[in-house]
Amino acid sequence: MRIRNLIVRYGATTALDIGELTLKRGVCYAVIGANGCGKSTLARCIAGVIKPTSGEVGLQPDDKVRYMPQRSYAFYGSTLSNVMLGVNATAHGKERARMLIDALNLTTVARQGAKQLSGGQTARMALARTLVGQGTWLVLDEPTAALDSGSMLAAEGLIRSYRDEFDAGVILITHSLKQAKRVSDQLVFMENGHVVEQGETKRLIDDPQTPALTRFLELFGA
Amino acid sequence: MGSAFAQALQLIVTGDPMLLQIIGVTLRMSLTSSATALVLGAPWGAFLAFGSSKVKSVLIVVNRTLMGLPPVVCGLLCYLMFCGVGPLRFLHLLYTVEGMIVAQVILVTPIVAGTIEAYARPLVAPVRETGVGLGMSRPRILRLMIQECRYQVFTSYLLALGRALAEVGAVSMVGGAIAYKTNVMTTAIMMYTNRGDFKMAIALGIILVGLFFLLNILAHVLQPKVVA
Repeated sequence: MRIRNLIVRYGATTALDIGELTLKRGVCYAVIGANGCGKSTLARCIAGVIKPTSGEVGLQPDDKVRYMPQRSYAFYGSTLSNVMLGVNATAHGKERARMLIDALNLTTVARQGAKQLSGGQTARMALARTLVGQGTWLVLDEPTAALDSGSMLAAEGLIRSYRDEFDAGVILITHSLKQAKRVSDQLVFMENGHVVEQGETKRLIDDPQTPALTRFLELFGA
Repeated sequence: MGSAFAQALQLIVTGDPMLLQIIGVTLRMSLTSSATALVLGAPWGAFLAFGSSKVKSVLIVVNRTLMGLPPVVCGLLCYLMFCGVGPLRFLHLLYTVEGMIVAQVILVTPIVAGTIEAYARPLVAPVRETGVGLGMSRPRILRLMIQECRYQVFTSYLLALGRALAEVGAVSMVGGAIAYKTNVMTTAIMMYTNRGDFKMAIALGIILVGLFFLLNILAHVLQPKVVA
């Protein structure tokens, strides 16, 4: 994916202004930055939820993007039926849905109404719904923000498996530098709508090249 | 007054023919007008809920204004359209049940559209975002949206039906409250009360309140229950 001159403006405010950003399939990118730096806007542009003011995301014609928004939405119906929304109702699809429900500890609430789930359960359901279908790109906007540590580790394992199974590029928006270190191969640091630094996660955290990332790491720790 | 109440109950229990005729006209008018208002108002409300633009903002304000259209003003407009010198006189709708239905549709459609728009608007963004994120087509996202609003669509219908049952201004002006033809429960209650025939007025009042009670029971029973 080659993002070029991607600009998103809301009125007089420029939310995103990326000159060039190249992302590869099979690699997990953690996108970090302070609130309001444009991470979610970038995610929504890649997913096709919003149209950029100018520029392009540069997806291939056969690319399929699976996107989990920051706020999870539960539809009427059971947890299982919500997860099945993300995949065709084939035997394989149902099997995969069941596997994800079990892996994310939703088995006991599989038949329960999805609108009655707790915040953490809804987030896990939404993650299962996103991972159940095959895609070439996985864009996850703070998928584990509402999860306890056990569920978070399980979710991270599933994300890595998804990357390996489908050779998918993963774009993980996170506020947790520890999570970024655990899960991602590459780090993308954003500030004020721009990509300031990009590189191997461990190297960047141990040896940031820009004052902005240095300040960010000092404030938020690693 | 006590004997009038007792006589009213007797009218109901024995199925007085005049009573039944009035109820029949009322139900025919109300059910038809509310169903028509739903068919017209639901898509219109959905259209108003999706997306935003200056034109759409104006349309929303206009619709909300029409939600408060006084029934007598609506009746007056319809009367002027359908009367002997009106532009739609060739339709011969004045003093007919069909004319009353038209008046009620004009009154109730903005209410249906407005309630659906108000309910659906906050849902559009999360439903669309989730649907796009899962690679769904636009028609499928729209179907999901309608599913999410189905309870609201049904309660909008009940609201429309309730409004149609209770309305008196427009239907009396357009229908004329003609006995055996366009007299509905509300106009009949007025007429019989003015005449001093309280038993009939009370009987109709009991049935009208009973109908509203049934509508509310229906709405309560059909509250969304999340099932597997």
